Amino acid sequence: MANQTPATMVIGLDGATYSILDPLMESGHMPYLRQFSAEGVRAELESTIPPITPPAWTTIMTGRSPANHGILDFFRPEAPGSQFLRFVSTKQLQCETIWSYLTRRQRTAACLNFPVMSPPIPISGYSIPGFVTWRHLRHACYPRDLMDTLKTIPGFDLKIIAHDFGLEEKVLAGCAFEEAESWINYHTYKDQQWVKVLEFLSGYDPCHVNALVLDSIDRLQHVFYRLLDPAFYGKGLSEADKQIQSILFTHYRALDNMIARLAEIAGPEGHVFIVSDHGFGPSQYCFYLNSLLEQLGYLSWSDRAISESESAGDVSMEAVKNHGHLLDWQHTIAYVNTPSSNGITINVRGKNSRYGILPEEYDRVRNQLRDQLMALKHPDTGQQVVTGIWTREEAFGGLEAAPDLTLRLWDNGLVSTLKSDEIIKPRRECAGVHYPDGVFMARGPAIRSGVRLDPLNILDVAPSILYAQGLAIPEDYEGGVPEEMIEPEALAANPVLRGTATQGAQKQAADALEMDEADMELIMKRLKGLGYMS
Amino acid sequence: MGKPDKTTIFNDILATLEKVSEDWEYSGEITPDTFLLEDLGLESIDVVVLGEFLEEHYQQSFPFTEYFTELAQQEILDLRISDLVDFIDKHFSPQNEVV
Repeated sequence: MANQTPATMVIGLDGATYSILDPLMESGHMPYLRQFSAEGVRAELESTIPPITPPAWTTIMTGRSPANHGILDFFRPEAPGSQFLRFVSTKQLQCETIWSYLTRRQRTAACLNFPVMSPPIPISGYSIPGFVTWRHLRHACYPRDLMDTLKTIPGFDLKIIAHDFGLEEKVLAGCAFEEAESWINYHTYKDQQWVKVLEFLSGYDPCHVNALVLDSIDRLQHVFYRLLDPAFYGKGLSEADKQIQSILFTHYRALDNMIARLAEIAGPEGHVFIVSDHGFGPSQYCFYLNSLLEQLGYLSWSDRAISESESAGDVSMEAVKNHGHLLDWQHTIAYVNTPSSNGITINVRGKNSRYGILPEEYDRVRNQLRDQLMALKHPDTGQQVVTGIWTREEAFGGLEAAPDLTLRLWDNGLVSTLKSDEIIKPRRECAGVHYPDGVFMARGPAIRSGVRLDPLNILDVAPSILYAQGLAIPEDYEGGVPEEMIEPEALAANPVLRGTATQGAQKQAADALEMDEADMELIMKRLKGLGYMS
Repeated sequence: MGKPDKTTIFNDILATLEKVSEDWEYSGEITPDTFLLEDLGLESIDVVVLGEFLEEHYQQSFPFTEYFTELAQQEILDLRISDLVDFIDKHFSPQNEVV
């Protein structure tokens, strides 16, 4: 490490929420996290709109909102205006990542398991993306021969750190009792392997910033939220549920050990941040928004569409991506294309569709639909179903690719795109869904001790990481360093400075191409020096 | 890039597979009749990523998702290399820039 700035560790806990972590800390299942929380600062962390993984982590690693970085969902249209979907990738990323920014400031970084980091962007350091299958992981990493290096780790399992879409679909489809133990243990082992990779890299070629997303708790909370939140399990559990809960608690104890190990890697002089991309909470109902749009006269199903009960609730990623064929496009004005977006797209003739409304009808139709949605009442409770609606301009600065309307539901749930006879139906059992408030904790020499801060915004994470590295905050970052988390003497000695703006994605790519050859040469030299290459 | 003939497309697919398959544990001969899922063991998401490598090679986009969706609708759950060759041949157009 050429620059002697103490290391910064960013521990990403996908979907972490205080409503689960606090009881686990209090009951002794996460003693290290309890100590960490007491010795540092903590705050709630407001996520992006919508509070889902790709836009939220991208905001953490760019310091920019989805309106600017351009990552709005798990999916993107295959072509402009197409109803067919592909996963988002760095090709859609419109802003410079913090890893590239650090590279330009003579810092090195290891960013592990972050979504939307494939195809790889060359940096000074190491990048292994999340959401990539093992067959393609090698080519999604940077540097390109990183996998060969990692294979020298005793017991390293390439397949386990990759994304297994088949296994992860249990998040959507549910997990049978007899599969629960192996599925939970799979996530424990996967997280441990990621920690092993970071341990290896920190010994092999220490970086200034190490960042790792551990994604197990998002997956487990989707399926087992009711066994983790005392507000639910306090009412009594079956023997089978108690067994699963015990395995879940074992997982969280293992996670606590992993967090302790990662913090140890940062060293006593380093700063450690623990952040989540969004929070979590319970959801007891499914809301079939496309079926509501049909009832309201905005949507027509194709002959291929079958009802949710007939399709056995097929909510696989494939079903989501193939959803387009379920609609009769000639007679559809407004529709939801992905459940993760909670967004409605309006078909405007000549703009994004061959069919749909005329451009001059757009404002009237959108306002009418907005009013109809806000007036919807829950059939069981009578409460308002849609508690917030943002237009494309309000949520995403008018970005063309964004939904025309984005919804927040009464229970923070995500909508279903499937066909259903009922608009709102109780789930078979309570599920966990993304809530907007995640977690932020920090500890280190410059961080105050035992302080609870007012809620922060997810835009504040990237500036905080740069501050810990002694760097100025780019002027186009939309958040700031929460100065109330810093010891007054440390703040006086190192005031928060604003610097020049980040580079756009095009410049980042151009720099990356220029850097590629030179950086590869440097890496090869390092590997040879360490005896990894002949 | 001018439009390649089918033999060139087949060779391009082979070259792409060779490039990306280092960890795949497949040692059989790949022919036009090789099935991507059953023979090579790919999952559907892997086929889309393979398609993206081909898009990068040809510097143009192809409607892979639309194609795979249509196949799924016809309950065709696998495709041969030759099907992929035919698909690229049919949709090759210098106007389709990569999205």
